[in-house]
Amino acid sequence: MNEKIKEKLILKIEHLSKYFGKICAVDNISLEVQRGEFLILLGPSGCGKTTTLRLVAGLEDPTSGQIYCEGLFLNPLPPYKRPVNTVFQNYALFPHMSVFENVGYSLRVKRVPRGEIKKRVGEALRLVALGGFQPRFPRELSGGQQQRVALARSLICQPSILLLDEPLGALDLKLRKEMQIALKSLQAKVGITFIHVTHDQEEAMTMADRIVVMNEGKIVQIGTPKDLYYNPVNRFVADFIGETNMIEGEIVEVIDREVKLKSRNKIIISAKPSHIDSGELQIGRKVSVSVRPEKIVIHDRSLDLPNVFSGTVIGFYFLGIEQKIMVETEDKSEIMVRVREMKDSRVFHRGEKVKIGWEKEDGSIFF
Amino acid sequence: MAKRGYLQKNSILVLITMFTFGFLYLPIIFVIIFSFNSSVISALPLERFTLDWYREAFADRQVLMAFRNTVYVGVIATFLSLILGTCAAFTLNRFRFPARGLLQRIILLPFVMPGIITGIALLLIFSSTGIIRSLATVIIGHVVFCFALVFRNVSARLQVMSRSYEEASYDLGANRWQTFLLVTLPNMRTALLSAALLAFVLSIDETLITFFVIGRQNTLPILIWSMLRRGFTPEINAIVTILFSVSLILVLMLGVILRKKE
Repeated sequence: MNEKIKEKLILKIEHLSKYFGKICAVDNISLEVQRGEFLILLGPSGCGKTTTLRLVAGLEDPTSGQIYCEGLFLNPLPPYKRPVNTVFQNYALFPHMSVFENVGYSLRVKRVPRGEIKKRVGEALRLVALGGFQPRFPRELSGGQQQRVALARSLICQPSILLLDEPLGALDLKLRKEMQIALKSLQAKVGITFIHVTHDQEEAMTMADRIVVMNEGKIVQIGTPKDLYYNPVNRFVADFIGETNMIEGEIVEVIDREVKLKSRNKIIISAKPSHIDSGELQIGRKVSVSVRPEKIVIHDRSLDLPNVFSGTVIGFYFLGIEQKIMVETEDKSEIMVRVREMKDSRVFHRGEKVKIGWEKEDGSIFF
Repeated sequence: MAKRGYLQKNSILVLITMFTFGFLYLPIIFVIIFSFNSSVISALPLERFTLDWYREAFADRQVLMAFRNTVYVGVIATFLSLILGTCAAFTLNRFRFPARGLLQRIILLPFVMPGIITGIALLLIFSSTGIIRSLATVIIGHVVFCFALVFRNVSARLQVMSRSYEEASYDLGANRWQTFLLVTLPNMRTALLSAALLAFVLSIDETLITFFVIGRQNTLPILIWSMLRRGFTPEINAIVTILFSVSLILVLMLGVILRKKE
């Protein structure tokens, strides 16, 4: 293997599958992880992301497939022989041990001398801003503190990869947002590759260098947050990442660089999608059009756009940085519109008649 | 109005409870009272208070030997039950294999079977294999019963105990043996301790199975039995009271431990 490639790649998963009896949790996935990146496995409950994590950790045995870490073949190795550590969803701090004993556990089982354990535990706790917490016990700590102890415990042995299984799930919103930023900067500081599992797409967008979107045991798309937001590869990703309006319709005409669709009583004109072959765009085929709320223009008078519809405001929400406006169009579909809030922004009232519209390029077509 | 009705309903419940407890414990209370009574005949009215019967019991060589044997059997049976019961609990709770359910039911049989059946069955085995009855066979008899108890307690704990502690331990570099010693066992402390206490109490009080498998040396319950057959002396009251007190203290200790766990 090329030396340069060997250095960059820290984890290689090849055709990994896991069956629990007849149920397929992970379906033939392959993935390469770069050294030092913050990778997030994102997907709805049951999509296989946690199982994938556990397979890498060695807590489950794969039905088929191979896992390599820095060239080391992981499959036959039990968890205690893998250069990989896990932060569990419920932290799993040993209740009968103090914070010091918890964090120092991995060093103790390796029979590291006591003096060195003391030093390294101190460093690890300072790293997570819990210096001085050594004598406390897990039951005396808050959720956020427990989570940081779990982090320190896993980082102290300097693993090649740190796996995090929805570690922020149990925290309240404010704390969760703080921890997202703290985790990201911690990762940058320590330089260790993080693989983080979550079902919260906002969390994923905030923290990830790259996101692996999973559904029903398969990888749907891999990309940076921007990639996934602007170029979702299918309807599932478009719907899962960020918020969008999904309009169902049927192709009625395909002209040059445009596709005309009929949705209930409306005609929608969208730019021809680059990710779909022209041959697939048959007349009569049922498709979905995804329009991001922030791409929709709303006005009380007419609009000069290829797609314009009349409607009534049924909901108006002031959210500080933006306004969210729900509009019911003539055919009873509900469209969400997002408008950046400026102090002198127009306020729309419930019941007002408005016009909404968007450009051809802003409606993405999916099957 | 509601309060009055509640009390009325309550007083019936209180009465029933008192009657039940009385029915169950009055005999033993009488034994305790009479053990301090100077009269040779255990009947009312009471004479004067005395500790003579206790002095007699402690001076009786037979009693002391039986007491020693009882404790000896209890300690060893408890110890063996702890080891066997814990191993069985782990094997049946952490691994999957075909006869698992069946094996579990077989282990718990002593709870369901009358003690007399267990006793006779063991007696048959011993006599047909030529094993001489002694304190060792008594220990075996007690282990059959106590091991089921430990198994049940530890199994219950294992089922409730989150696997994530063990997984975290493996993840951090500890092998199976280290994980067992450093993480699993300490988390089972209460379950083990309560199982041990209960096993010991049951062992020192065990009469029925013991009766069938005992050899020349007596345990306290068996001694009391044979003393009764020879003719009643108030010394027996004293011995019974001692045995009862020891059991009671241990069970109360068990209660304290369990409550502390809450």
